[in-house]
Amino acid sequence: MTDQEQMTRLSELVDGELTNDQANQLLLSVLNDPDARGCLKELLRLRQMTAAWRARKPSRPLVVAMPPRVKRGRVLGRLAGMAVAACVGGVLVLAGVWLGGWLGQSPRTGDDQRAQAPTTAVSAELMQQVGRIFALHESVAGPLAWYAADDQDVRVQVAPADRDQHTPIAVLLEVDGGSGNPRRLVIVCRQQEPAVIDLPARQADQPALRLYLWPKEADGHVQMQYAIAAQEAFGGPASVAGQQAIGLGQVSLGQLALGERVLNVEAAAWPMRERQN
Amino acid sequence: MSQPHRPAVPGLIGAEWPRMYRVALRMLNDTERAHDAAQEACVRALAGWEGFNGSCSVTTWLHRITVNCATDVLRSARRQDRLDGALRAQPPGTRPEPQPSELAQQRELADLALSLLDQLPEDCRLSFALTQLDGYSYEQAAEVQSLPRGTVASRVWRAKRTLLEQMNARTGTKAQP
Repeated sequence: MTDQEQMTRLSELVDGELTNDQANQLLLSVLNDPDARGCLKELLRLRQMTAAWRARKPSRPLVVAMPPRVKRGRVLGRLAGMAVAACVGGVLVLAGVWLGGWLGQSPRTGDDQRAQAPTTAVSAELMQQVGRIFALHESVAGPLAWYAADDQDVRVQVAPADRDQHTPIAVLLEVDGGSGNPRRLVIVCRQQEPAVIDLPARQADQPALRLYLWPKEADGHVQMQYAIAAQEAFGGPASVAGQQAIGLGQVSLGQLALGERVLNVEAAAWPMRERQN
Repeated sequence: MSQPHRPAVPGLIGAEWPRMYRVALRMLNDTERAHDAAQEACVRALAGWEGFNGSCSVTTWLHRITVNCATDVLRSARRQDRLDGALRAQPPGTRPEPQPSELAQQRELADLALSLLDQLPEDCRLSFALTQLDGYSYEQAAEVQSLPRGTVASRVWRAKRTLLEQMNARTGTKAQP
C-alpha cells in the first residue's frame, strides 16, 4: 500500500467507511508509524470539527402547507402532469367544499352566543366530513401527526415513521374578535401527543397564532391541555393556557387581550375513534 | 374513494428532513431560506412521488430535489439582492451553534475549517461537503455525483489534506499529512 493509499484509507477509517476487520488491519499498520499516527490524529480532529454541522437539525418541524384557495392555481400549475396533483388538489377542493358549511358559516351575534352557550357546534354530518377529509389527506401524505385547516390554508405535519399512531382527536377552534369575522379552524391532532401549530396572520383582525394542544380522551370527552398565543403587528403577544374537558358543545378556552381588542377562544372536540368515512 | 397507499415516502421524508435542511443550509447560508427550501423540497417530493421511477435511490432523489429547490431560492434571492442594490448581511445563526462544552480553541478551528471550504478545489469541495457536512456515506455521495466510490474517497482525502495544510499554516502548527 502506498502512502497515498494509506492516507486515503485513514480518511475512510475516520469517516466510518471501513468494516471492523479493515479498520483493525489498518490500525495495526499505523500503530508503529509515528507519521501515520499523527495524520490519523489530525484527521480525527477535522472530523470532530465538522460534527456540529452533521448534527444540525431544523429548528422548526416539517410542515407541508398547501394553500388551496389563494394560490391553488399556482400550486396545481406547478404540479400539472403529476398524478398526485389531481389527488392532492382534489382533497383540498373537497376540504373547502365539505367544511365550507362550518368554516364559512355566518357569525353568531353576541345575543346568540349568550342564548346558546354552550352551543352545540358539532353535527354528525360535520364529524363525518372531518373524518373523511383527514382520512383522505392521510391516504395522500401518509400518517399525519396533525392537520389544521381554515378557510384559506390546509397544513399538515407528517408523523414520524417510527412512532405509533394514537387515536386522532378532532378540534373545532373559533377565535372571535367580535368584528363579525371569526377565524374558524378544523384541527385533527393525536391522543396524548402534543401538537404545536403555527398559523399565519390573515387579516387585520385575525392575528398570527401559535397553538399548543395536548388532548387526552376521558369519559367520552376530550381532556385538553392547551396554550394559545397570538401576535399581531401592533398588539400582543397575548396568550391563554389551561386544561379542561371539551365535548361536542362549544366551550370557552379563555380570552386573548391584544391591544384594545379581546379575542374569545372557543372550542369543541371529539375523539375520532372510528373513521367517519 | 380508493387512494393508492404509499406509506413509504412520508416516512423517508421525515427521516431525511434534517439532512435536506442541512444541504439547503450549506447552499444558502441562511437558516430561514434553508427551512423554506427544504419545506418546498418536501412538497415537491410528495407531489412527485408517483413519478419517481427508481432509477436512483430515494435518498439521492430527495437530495437532487433539495438542491434544485435551494438553487431556485438562491436565484430568487440574488434577484432580490440586485433589486435591493446591496448584498444582504449574513444573518446570525447561519453556522452551527457551538456546543457549550467545546473549547474556544476548537470552535475557532471549526470556524476556520468552514471558512476555508470555498478555497477547496471544485471537484473536492462537493465530495467533502456531502460526506463531512451533509452526512452522506461515500456510497451515497458517489451516487449523487455519479462517480465511483473510490473517486469520492480520493477526493475527500484530498480535500481534508488541503484543509489541514491551510489550517495548520494559519495556526502555525506543523502540517501532519
